[in-house]
Amino acid sequence: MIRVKQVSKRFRDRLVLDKVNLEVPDSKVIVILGPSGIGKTVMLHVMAGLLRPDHGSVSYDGLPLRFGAFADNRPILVQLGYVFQNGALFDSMDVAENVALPLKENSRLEDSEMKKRVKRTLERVGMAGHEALSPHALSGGMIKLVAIARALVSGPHYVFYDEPTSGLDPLMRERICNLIKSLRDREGKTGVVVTHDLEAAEAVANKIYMLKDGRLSTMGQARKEDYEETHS
Amino acid sequence: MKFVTAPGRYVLFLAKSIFIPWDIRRTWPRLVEQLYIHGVSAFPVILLASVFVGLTTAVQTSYQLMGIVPKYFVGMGVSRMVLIELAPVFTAFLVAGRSASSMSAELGAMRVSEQIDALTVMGVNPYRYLCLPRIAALTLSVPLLVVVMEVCAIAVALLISTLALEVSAYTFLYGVTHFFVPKDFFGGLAKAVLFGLFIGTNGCYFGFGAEGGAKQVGRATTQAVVASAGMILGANFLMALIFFRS
Ligand SMILES: Nc1ncnc2c1ncn2[C@@H]1O[C@H](COP(=O)(O)OP(=O)(O)OP(=O)(O)O)[C@@H](O)[C@H]1O
Ligand SMILES: [Mg+2]
Repeated sequence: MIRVKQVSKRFRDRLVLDKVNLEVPDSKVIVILGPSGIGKTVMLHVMAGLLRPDHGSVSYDGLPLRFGAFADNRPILVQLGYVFQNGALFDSMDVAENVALPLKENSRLEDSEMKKRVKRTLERVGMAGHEALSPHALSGGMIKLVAIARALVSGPHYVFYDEPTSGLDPLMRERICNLIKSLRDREGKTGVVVTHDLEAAEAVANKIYMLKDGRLSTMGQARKEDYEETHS
Repeated sequence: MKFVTAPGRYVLFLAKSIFIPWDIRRTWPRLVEQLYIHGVSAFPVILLASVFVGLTTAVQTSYQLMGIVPKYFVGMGVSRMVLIELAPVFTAFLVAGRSASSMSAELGAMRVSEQIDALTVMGVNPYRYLCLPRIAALTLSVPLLVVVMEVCAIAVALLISTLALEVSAYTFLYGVTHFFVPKDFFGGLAKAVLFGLFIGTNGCYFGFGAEGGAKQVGRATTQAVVASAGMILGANFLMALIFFRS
């Protein structure tokens, strides 16, 4: 279980997160919904230890995340897959090398086994056959898919998705939604999805939260309609 | 405030980059890659510079000394000047211009496109993965490049002395060998190691510190080169006090 306690984050005069509390139960997918620029990415960065909050704490199964430039959170991070909003693929490596990197650095698998896993993961996101391309030769949607493959390849227990469906065609979008669901249902993985895609949110979520004015609130039907109205 | 804490952060950064457990199997390929990029690929520019260092020092030394002291002092003057000052400082400046800039630009671009965050979140220590091989490669290559420049510059000086300055090869080499002091050579080499360490660390430190976009990456690149130049000159003076004070 991931527990976020009283987390606040301010950028100059803008309070992006205001004493946010959140519990992510194991084997569930929660979605944080909100319009652009509201602080969704900031929230995920804090939860992954990439950004130090002004106040508050984050813990994984009771193990506190440490913040700061030199913090070492390896025991937690090897269990975490993170899909960055812009993909954050390594542009000095091709697709296969990008996806293989977590295995190469964190496991002692044989090369052939690594290749097999990379291939299987790429197939899973529909990117088989693109192994030798370099990131600058990929479209925005393809970058997203490779980023998802890279986050999943080492079989992490927690997976964070920052806008997993943005820039994808409807078919791919459905495929990714199904993937997120099947990771939860068949493999018991825990997911945190941040998005402004309400439809995708409803498709994958056990629970939907709204981020607004730095606060998280659970989303009821009335507010859902409200959100639909203002963002359609 | 930022200015006051900068040296502390710098030292901390260096410590974090080199005093970390690493395993040879994973680090070795990246070290070789960096040695190639920052060492082997620097050969042409170092050789070119060596030729002109050799030519100029030979001409200048003979112009300063001719008629005052015996001719073999040309050999001595050239070789000691090259070993102690010219080769280490010239090489370091060239490498700083080549490598501190390219490293900080590369790492800065990785920083702003969240590639360094991506490493971190994978549980891969970015200091070990990115900084250690770069800093090690620079610390190893600068002394080697310095030796290349020393050999090449002295050879070129010998050549021009015999061809154009009326100093025979025997006389020139007599000056080189008779006044050779091992301390000159090893002092120059010690400086080179330190310069390499500075250049590598600066490239990584300013690259990692880039935050924002293209403009900040550009600024990080400038800072890495300027800081390297300053540190090379400062350290060069301090090492002169330590090694070469009479
Ligand atoms: N490093 C930073 N420095 C200053 N302000 C920042 C920084 N990072 C984020 N912000 C601010 O925090 C707010 C939230 O940004 P964030 O990237 O989390 O938005 P988001 O909800 O992910 O939006 P989107 O859906 O467009 O990705 C923005 O107003 C942004 O200006
Ligand atoms: Mg975002």
